[in-house]
Amino acid sequence: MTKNTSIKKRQELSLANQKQNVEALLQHPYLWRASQAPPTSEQQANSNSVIKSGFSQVDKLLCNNGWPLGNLIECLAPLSSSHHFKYGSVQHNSLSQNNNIMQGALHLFLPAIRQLASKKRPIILVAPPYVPYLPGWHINTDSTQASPLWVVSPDTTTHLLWACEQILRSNSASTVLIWLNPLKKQQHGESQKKNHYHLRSVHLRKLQLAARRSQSLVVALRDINNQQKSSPAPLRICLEPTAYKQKTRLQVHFLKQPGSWGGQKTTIAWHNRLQTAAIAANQWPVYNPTQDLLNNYRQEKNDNLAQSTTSTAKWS
Amino acid sequence: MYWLCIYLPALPLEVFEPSKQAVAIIENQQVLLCNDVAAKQGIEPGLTASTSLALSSTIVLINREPEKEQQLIKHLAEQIYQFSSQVVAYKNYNQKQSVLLEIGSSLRLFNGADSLLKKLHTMLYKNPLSETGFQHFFGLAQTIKAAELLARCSKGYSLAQEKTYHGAENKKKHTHPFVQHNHWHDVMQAPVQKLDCQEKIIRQCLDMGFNKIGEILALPTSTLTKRFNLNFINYLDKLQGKTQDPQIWFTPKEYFHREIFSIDGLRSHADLQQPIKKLLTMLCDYLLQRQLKCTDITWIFTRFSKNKNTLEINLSQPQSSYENLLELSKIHLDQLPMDSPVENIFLSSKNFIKKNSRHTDLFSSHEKCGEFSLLADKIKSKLGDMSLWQLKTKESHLPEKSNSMEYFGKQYLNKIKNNEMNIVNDNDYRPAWLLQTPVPLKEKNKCLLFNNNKLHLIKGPERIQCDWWSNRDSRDYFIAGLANKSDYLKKTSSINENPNEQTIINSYENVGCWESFYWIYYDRIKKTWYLQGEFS
Repeated sequence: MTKNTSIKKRQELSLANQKQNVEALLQHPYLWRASQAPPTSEQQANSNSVIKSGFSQVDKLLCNNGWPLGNLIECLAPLSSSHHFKYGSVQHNSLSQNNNIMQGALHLFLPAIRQLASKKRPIILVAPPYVPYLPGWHINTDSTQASPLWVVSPDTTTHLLWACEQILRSNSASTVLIWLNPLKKQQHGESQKKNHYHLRSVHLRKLQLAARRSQSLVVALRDINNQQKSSPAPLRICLEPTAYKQKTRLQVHFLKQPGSWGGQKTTIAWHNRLQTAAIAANQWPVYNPTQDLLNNYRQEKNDNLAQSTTSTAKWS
Repeated sequence: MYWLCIYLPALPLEVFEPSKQAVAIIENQQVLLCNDVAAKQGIEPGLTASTSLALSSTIVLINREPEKEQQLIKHLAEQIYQFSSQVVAYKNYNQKQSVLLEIGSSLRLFNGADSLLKKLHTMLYKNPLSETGFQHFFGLAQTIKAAELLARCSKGYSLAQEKTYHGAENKKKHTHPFVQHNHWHDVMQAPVQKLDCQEKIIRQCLDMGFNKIGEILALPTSTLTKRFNLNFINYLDKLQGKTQDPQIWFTPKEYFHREIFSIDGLRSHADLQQPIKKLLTMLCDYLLQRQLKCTDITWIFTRFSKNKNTLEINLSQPQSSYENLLELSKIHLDQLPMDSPVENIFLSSKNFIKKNSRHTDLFSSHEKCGEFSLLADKIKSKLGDMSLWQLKTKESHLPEKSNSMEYFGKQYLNKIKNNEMNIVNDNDYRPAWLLQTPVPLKEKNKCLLFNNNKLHLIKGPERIQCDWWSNRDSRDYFIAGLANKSDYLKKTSSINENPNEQTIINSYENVGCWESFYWIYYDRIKKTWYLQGEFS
C-alpha cells in the first residue's frame, strides 16, 4: 500500500511539473490558442502596429482591425490573362519578364499605401510587372518633394530576395510591395538548374523574419496556384474577382490570420465606376475605310479651326 | 620656441606591411635595414646584397623607396598636426627622416610635456598606418637642428626623466619642467659623429682631436671659418640658434588618400578585408577630426603586374560612418576579380561636405527608421545603376512621355522637383500601370482582340491631341474590360454554335464577371488600336 501511495504522489508531482511547464509555454506572446477569444477592443487599442485597410468590411474581419505592420502579408491572386502575351523586345514594358499577377491585388492595398505615403517614407516596389503610372495611384505628394514611389528591378531571384532583405532591414520604406515570382532571365555561365530558382517556404520564412525588423507594410504578391502550398506568412489572403449582383466585386478570402481563425470571406468594390453598361457594338469607333475619308475631311477642317488651342479635348 | 623631433630610424622598412619572411631594404646594393627575421639569420645593416643572399636563401631584398617614405611622413605629419600648428617633415643632410613640431605653444593645452609626449608615444606605437607601430626617438631642444641631433643621439628624451622633473615643479609658476632641463648640455656632450654634415668634415674634426660637439663650439668663429666650409659654419650657427632656420611648414591636404603595400600579396577577398578595414578607419578618423562627411570614395587595387582595378563608390548622401562605408565597400568588392594577387590598395576621397550638427531634444520621438539613401546606395552597388528608379512627371499630354523613369543618382541629393503643372485631373480615371511603349491590338470582325480574348469597351472616348507643331498625335482613349474566360465561354457557347450569325457580345449583361480593365487608345493618325495601361 505504501508503495502505491508513493508512486501516486510521484506521478502527481511530475504532472504538476508538466503543467507548470505547459503554462509557462502558453504565456509566450507568439502563441495563440484556438480556444482563445479574438482580441478585445482594449487589446486592439494598444496595438499601434496596424494600418486601416480602407475597406470597413475587411477591417472588421482582420485581427486588430487593420493590416499588421512589420509582418509579411501574402496575397494570392490569379494571373492576369495578359501573362502569356508577349510585349515584344522592349524591356521597359514588362520589367521583370515574369508572369503578371492580377492587379486587383494592388487595389486592395492602395488605400493603406496612400495613408502611409503621407509619412514621408518612400514606397518601394520590388520587381513590379509594369511601370507604375502615378496619376493612377492618387498618392498625395507635395510639389516640393520627389515622388515617393521607388522601383527596384532585380534580374534574378537571388537578387530579388537580397534586395527585399536589405529594404526590410533598413526599415526606411513605408510600404514594400514584392512581386514574388521566379525570374527567368538567363544568366551567362550559369547552369540550367540554377535558372529554375524556385521560391521555397524557407525564403518566405526569411522574408517574414526580415519583415519583423521593420515597421512597414510588407506585401508579397504571389500566384493563386500557391494556395495549397504551406507558407510561413502570418497573414494569407486570396483574391479573386467574382460576380455579385450583376457586378464584379473582389472577393477577399482570409486563408490564415494571426491571433484568430482563418477562412473568413468578404467582397470589396472594384472599379464600380467602370461597371456601367458597355458601349454598344455599332457605336464602336472601329476603323472603317469609307468613314475614314469623311473623318479625314472633318479632321482637317477641325484642325484648321482649332490649331492654336490644341490641348486635351474631351467629350464623353 | 621649443622643438620636439621625432626621429624615425626604421621608416624605410615600416613603409611596407610587416612580413613573416626575412626582408631587407637595400640602398646602393647595401643593406640599409632589415627586419627581425632577417636579423636572426645574420643579416645586418652595411652588408652587401650578395653577402646577404649568401647568408639567407629566402631573404626578400627590396630597394628603398624614398617616394613612399615621403608620403608616409606626410601622413604621419597629418596625424601629428593635432598636437601643434607648426609641423615640419624634415629630411637631414644624410637623408634621415624625422618629423619636427613646435611644442612650446601647445604645452598648456596638453597639460605639460609629459602628457603630450605620452600621447605622441601611444599614437606612434598604436598607429593605423603601421601594424607594428613606428620605431621612434624623441629629441627636445630650442632649435630645430639641436632637437634633430638629440633625437638621433638616441639618448633623446625619456619619460622617466621627465617624471622626476614633474614632481619638483612648482605648478604656480608657468614654467615647464623641460625648460629647466639643460638640453644644451646634452648637445654639447653629444659625440661629433652625430653632426649632420659631410663625413669629410667629421673626420677632419676627429683628426683635430675633437670628440664632443661642445669642443668644436668652444672655438672662436674666426678659427672655424678658416678651417671649415661655409655650409658647416651655417649649420653650427643654426644649431646654436645664432641664425634663423627657415622651414616649409606642413599644411594638411584638402583631400584624403592613403595606400597600403603588401610584400606577400593579397590573394583572396578574405585577405583584403583587413587592409580595407584599416584604410577605412583612417578615413573615418580623418573625417572625424575635420568634422566632415565624404560624398564619394575611390578604391584602387594594383596587382603585381601593375594592372589596376578601380572601384568608385558614389554616395547619394554624405557619409562619415565606418559601418556604412564598410558595408558598401564590401558589396563593391564582390565585383573585384581576384585572379592575381593585389600588391597595393589605395583609398582616396576628395569631395567633402561639412557635418551639420543636428539638434535633437529629449522629448522628440526617435523613429527607428533607416536612411533610404544608404539602402539605395547598397541596392545600386549590388544590382547595378539601372536597378533602382523612381518616376518623374514631365510636362506632356502623352502618358508615356509624362511618366518618365529617373534612375537613382546624385540628383537625389538636390531632390527632384516634380512639375507643379498637373495635367491629369483627379477626376480622370487613370490606370495604375503603364506600358511605356504601347502595344498594338489586333482587330477582327469589328472586335478588338487582346491575346485572342475579346475586349469590351466600357468608357470613353477621351481625346488627347497634342504636339501639332512637331509629331502630331491624336488619340482617343477608352477603358476596356476583359471578361472572365470561363464565365464568358459558358455564355457564348450557344452563340458560337452558329458561326453564320454574326452577333457580337459587347453589352455588359452578357459578360458576367470582369477579369481586368485596360486603358486602350485608337491612334487617329496611324488608324490602329493600342493597349497602354492596366488598372489596378
